[in-house]
Amino acid sequence: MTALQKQSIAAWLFAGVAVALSLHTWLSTPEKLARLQRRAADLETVHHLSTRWDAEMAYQQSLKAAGQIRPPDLPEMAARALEGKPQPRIQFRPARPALEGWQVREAQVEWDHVPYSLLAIFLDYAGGFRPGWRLQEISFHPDAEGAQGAVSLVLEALEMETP
Amino acid sequence: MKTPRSISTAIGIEISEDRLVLARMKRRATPQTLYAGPLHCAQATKALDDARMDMEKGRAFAAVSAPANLTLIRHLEAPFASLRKAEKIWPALLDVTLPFPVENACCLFTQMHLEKKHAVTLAAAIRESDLQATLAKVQEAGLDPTHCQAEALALWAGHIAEKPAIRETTPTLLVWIGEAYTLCLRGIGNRLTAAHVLRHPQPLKPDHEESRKAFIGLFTNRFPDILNEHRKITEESTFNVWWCGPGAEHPAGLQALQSPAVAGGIVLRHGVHQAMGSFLARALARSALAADDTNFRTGALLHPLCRKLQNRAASRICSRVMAASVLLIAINGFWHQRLNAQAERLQSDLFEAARTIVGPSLQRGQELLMVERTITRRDEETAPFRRSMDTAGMEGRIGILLEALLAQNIEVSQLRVAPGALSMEGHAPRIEAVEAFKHSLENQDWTVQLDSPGKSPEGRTLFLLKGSRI
Repeated sequence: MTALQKQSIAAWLFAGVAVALSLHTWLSTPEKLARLQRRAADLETVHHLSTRWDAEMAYQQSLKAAGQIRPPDLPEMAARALEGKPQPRIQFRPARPALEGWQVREAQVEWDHVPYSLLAIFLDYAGGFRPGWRLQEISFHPDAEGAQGAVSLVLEALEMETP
Repeated sequence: MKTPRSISTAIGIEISEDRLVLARMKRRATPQTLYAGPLHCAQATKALDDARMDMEKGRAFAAVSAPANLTLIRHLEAPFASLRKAEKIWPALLDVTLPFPVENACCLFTQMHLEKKHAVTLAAAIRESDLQATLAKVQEAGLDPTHCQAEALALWAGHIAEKPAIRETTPTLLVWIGEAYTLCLRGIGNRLTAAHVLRHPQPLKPDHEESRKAFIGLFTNRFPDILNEHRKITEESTFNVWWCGPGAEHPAGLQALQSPAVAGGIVLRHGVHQAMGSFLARALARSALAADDTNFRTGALLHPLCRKLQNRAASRICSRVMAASVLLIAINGFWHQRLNAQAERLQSDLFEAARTIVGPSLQRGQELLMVERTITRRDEETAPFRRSMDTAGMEGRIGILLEALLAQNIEVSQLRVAPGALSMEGHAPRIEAVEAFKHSLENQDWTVQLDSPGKSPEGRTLFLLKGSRI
């Protein structure tokens, strides 16, 4: 084999590799660019999500900082809010774990017969604390008069778990 | 394979028994006659030596002609319109027109073009033994020429270079008068169509009256036939006739050749080439430089200088292909590297961003999946905080609901509201009032089902309403 033949074979081998590589680049680049775009979009989404709970975190930090780590005692609060008025039956449910040492307490509050105006006073009073008892569910059956009846509430409050 | 164009000078050599003409041609310059005179003299030897030196140093090509009386020119026509396909059958078509086998011949195929949807070409062929004998004769004189051109083709190329036809349809004849034979080339415009060789009964000498008369006799006898032959392929009635060659340098002889009696009734416009005696040598030099496929020295007969140039040109092409390939590979590599680096950077950024959400348990490549899981879990964990922060809360929404009921004069006998669920029973003055309430719920993104079981004893419309919201 002459030097020219060897050179020719080498040149065509290089050319073949170059063409194959170019073809590969041409075929794979659109997919790679699309993948990069998807990844950039994912990054944008994750950046956006990282601030998703900023308000909640700030809120729990503020509660912690202010030492407001448990809600008022519900029966005591009901007695104070509805002094001399029909008192509800209160039944606590098991607490559920929440974020970073907090737990959620739930209580079912029931009246067989209560004026709705009194109910509004009670809910307003219960929600006025930090952390307060907030209404989760309500169910009522008005009696014949319409402005009063049987009421069942589910209230929820945040509480710092004690070790 | 064409001769590479890396040499810019060519020397055309016309050599006969006792005469030598040398002409030098440089690219993009007019050719110069170096020597024209007797072959056996010191000046001729020096001119040949100079030519050989130039050639041996790779500064010039040296071109001689394959005698026209040993060369056959044939017009070939393929029965189809593909030049590429026709190239494969030209030798077979030529073979049937040759008096010797094409395998024993050196052949050239030029002027390939399409004519009336047929591929046509002009072929030149010479016996290999004749070509070798011609080369041996020149080598005896002390020079191994790089080119051995088909004489007719070189002359015609020289003619159209010096006197190109103005119109493509003009019938043209080129008459080159040599010592042993005269070559009559017939063409239309710039295209050669046929060649005729008139062998002289005795060598034509300028100062030999008897030989001149014998030649004039031969010419006046044969030329009208050649003109008539040409008249068959053209509708023009006026032919241009150009004269050249050492035999045309004698004014009285040329005048006799140009007499109207020779024309046989056809109108001839005569013209002469400048420096007629060195026309062939100039044409050979020009053809060698033009690399116009008129060189019989190809294949096994290729001159070592031409082979070296071909190899050098091939080597240069290989180097360029290799350099271009390396560049292409580098560009591709750079592009892939850039894309990969960008992907890696984005991946790292994504990992870091996801880790702020997921925490240290995050695994590389599972960022989105783990972020989604974390979000679902964390949304649940933070929901009580959101509810606790919500100033209006469920209490506010119940208030709005009750106001809407009051506005429509709807009385509720049972109401249950929980996050994402609502059920209600009651009665209203008319069904339109309940539907208006239903629309107000739908406007707050509730999906509502309304059912009306009938009327109460008081005539009010009873209804059952169920709603859900994600």
